[in-house]
Amino acid sequence: MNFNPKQSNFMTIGIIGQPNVGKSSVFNLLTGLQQEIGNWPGKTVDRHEGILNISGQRYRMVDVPGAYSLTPRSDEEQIVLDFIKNDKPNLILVIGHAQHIDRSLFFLSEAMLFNCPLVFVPNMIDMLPGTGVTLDIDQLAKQLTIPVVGFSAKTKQGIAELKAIIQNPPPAVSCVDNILFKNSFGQSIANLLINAGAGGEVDCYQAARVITAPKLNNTPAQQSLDDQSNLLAMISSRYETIKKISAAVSHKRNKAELSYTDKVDQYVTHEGWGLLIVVLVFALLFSCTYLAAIPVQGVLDEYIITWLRDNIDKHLFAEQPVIRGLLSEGIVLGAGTVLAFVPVLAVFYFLINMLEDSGYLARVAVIMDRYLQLLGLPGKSALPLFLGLGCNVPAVIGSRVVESKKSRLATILLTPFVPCSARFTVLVFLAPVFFGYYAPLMTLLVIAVNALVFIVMARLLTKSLSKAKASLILELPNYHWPQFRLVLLTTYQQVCLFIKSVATWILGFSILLWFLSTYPGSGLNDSYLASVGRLLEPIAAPLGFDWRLLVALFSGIIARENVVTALGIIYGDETPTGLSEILRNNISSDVGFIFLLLSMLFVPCLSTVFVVRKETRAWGYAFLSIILNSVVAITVGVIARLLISYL
Amino acid sequence: MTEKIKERLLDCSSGDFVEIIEIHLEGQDIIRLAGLGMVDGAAMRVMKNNGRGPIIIRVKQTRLALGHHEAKGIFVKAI
Repeated sequence: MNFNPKQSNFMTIGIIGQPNVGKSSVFNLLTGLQQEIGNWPGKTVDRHEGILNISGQRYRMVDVPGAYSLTPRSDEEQIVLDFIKNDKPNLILVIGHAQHIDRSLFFLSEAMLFNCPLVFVPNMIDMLPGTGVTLDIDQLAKQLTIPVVGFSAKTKQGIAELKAIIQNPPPAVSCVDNILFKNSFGQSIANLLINAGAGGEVDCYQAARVITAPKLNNTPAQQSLDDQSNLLAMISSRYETIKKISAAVSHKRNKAELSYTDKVDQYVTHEGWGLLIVVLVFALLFSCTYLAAIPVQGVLDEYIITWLRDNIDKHLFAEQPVIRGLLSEGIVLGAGTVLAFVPVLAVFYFLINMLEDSGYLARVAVIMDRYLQLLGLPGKSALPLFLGLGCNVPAVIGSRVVESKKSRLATILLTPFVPCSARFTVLVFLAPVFFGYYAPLMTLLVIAVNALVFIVMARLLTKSLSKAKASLILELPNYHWPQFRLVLLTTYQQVCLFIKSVATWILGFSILLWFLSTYPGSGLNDSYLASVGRLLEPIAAPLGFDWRLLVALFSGIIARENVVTALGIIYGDETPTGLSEILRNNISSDVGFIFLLLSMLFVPCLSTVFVVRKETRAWGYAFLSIILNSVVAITVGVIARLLISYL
Repeated sequence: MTEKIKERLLDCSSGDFVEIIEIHLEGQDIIRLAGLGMVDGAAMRVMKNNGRGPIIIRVKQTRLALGHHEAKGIFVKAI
C-alpha cells in the first residue's frame, strides 16, 4: 500500500476517545485495510493512519491514542492535544461508550474546548440490551446540539450515518454556547477565552491547557484557576450538567445487580484463585509463544537460511571468497537472526492482543500489583518480565502495557537481567563441563545469584527513576470476546513495524561482527576480534579470563547461543564431546563459574539492545542498558572471584 | 436521622455502598478520576477490599482498581 496522506490535501478526520471504548474498531471499519502504522513523533505510542474512501472522495483518518481526560498527564493525553493543535483536523469523531455515558460526556466537554467540528459517537450500542441500560440517541443529539451517532462495530450500525456526516461536516462547536458549559465552569471558560482573546486570536489549545492542567502553565489567565479547589469545583459543575443530560437520555434498571463481568471478577481478582489463573495464563502464553514459534523457526532456519547458505557456498562466487563470506556469513546469517524473531513475535503479539482486547490484562496488573510493589514496580510489569525468561526481545516490546513512563523505562532496563532461554542453553551445556556431578547445584547457584542481582537492580532502578510511590488508577473493562480480525490486523502491523525498525540494525551489526571475526587473518583466532580480546586480557585478569573466554563472551552479543559455537571455534573442536573435554582441561571450575555468571549477566544480545532503542526512542537508553549490564556483570564476577579465593 | 460517618475508602469493606464526599489527591489524579466518573457525590460499590492489594470499586458501570495511596485520599460515607 502506498499513500502519503500528509502530503495530500485530503481532509483530516481525527478519532479520539477514552481507552476501552472501541476507537480502533471504528477506525478499522471505516478504513478497512487502507492503513499504516507508525510512531507519534518522539513517542513510543503507535500512530495509526488510514484512508477512508467515500464515493471517490478520500479522507485521511487518524486513530489518536485513548486518553481519560485531556490533561497532559500521560504521553497519550499529550498526543491528543498535539494532534488537535498541529494537524488541525477538519472533523473529530469523539468516540464514547454507550454504557458509560457520563464519562463519555465529560471527555466530550473537554474536546469542545478546541473549537473544532465534532461528532459524538456512543460506541458498543449493541451491548446495551444485555446490561439493562438504555440510551436515547435522538434526545442526546437534541440536547447537545451536535450530531450524535450510535455505533456498533459488530452490527455495523451507524456507519452510513457517520459517512454522511464526514461528507458534510457540521460547523465548529463553540463551547461557550453549548449546554455542557451552561454552568459556573462554562462561565470561567467564557471569561478565560475573552481574556486570552484580548491580544488577538483566541488560542483554544492554550485555554484548554490552562483549564485542564492549571499547575502546568504560567499564564496570567490561570491565576484564578490555579488552586485545587477550583479544579474540583469545575469538575463538579461539569458533572452536574452531565448528570442532568444523562438522566434525560439514559436509564439503568437495577443498579445493585452484578453484571457477568462482576461475577467473573469475583474469581479472577480473588487473591488465591486470581493468582492461580495468572500463573496458568502466563504458563499458557509462555508455552504457546515458544512451542508454536520454535518449530516455525526450525523450518525457516532449515529451508531458508541453511538452504541459502549452502547454495551460496556451493555455487556462488567461488572465485571471490570475500563476497561469498559476506553474503553467507554476514547478510544471510544476519537476516536469519531477524527472521528467527518473526514467529516468536507474531505469536506473542497475537496472544497479548487477544488478552488485552478481552479485558483480562488489566486484571493481571491488579493481582500482581501487591508483589511487584515490593520491587517498586507496577503490577503490569509482571507480564513483560516473565516473558523475558523466554526471550528478552518480546519482553522489552511487551513493556508497552506499563502505563507510567518511568515504570516502563525501569521495566525495559530491568529486562536484560532476566535470563532468557538462550542463556539457559549456555548454562545447561557448560555447567556439566565445569562442575561434573555438581552441575545441578551450581546451575541453581548461578540462577540464585542472577535472581539476587535482579532484585537489587529492580530496587535501584525504581528508586533512581521515580521518587514518588507508583500510583494506581486502573480501569477494569468489561470482559468480551476479542475481535479476531482486529487482533490479527494489529499483530500483522506490529510485526511489520518490528522488522522495519530493527532489521537493518541487526543486519548491519551482523556484517560488522562477521568482518571483525574473519579479518585480517584466516579465522577467528587471528581476527580483529581476537586482537581486541588479547588487548583486553589484562583488564579481564581480575576475572581470571584469558582472551579466548573474552572473545566467546563478545560473540554472545550477536546471539547468546553463539557463546558455545565460538568456544568450539576458538578451542578447535566443534563437536560437543570434544569441546567438553578440551574446556574441562583448559578452564578451572572457579573460572568456569565466573564465566557462567558473566554469560548470564553480560550485555544482552544485540537484538535486545536495538529493541530497547526502538521502545525508548533513544540511543542513550540502549547504551545505558549496555553499560549497566557490563558494569553489573563485571562487578558480580570480581566479587565472586574474591569470595572464591577466600574459600 | 443518624449522622452518616465520613471515612476513607481504604477503610470500607467489600460489598459496601458508599458515596464520595471529598477527594484529596493531586490535581492530575483528580482529573483522571473525573474522567472515570469518580467525582464528589458519585455513588459506588466496593467490590473488593481485603486490606492487601488494590481496592476494586464500581462507579455506575465502570470498574476501577485503586492503589492504597489513592484509596486513602478518597473520603466517602455509607448510603
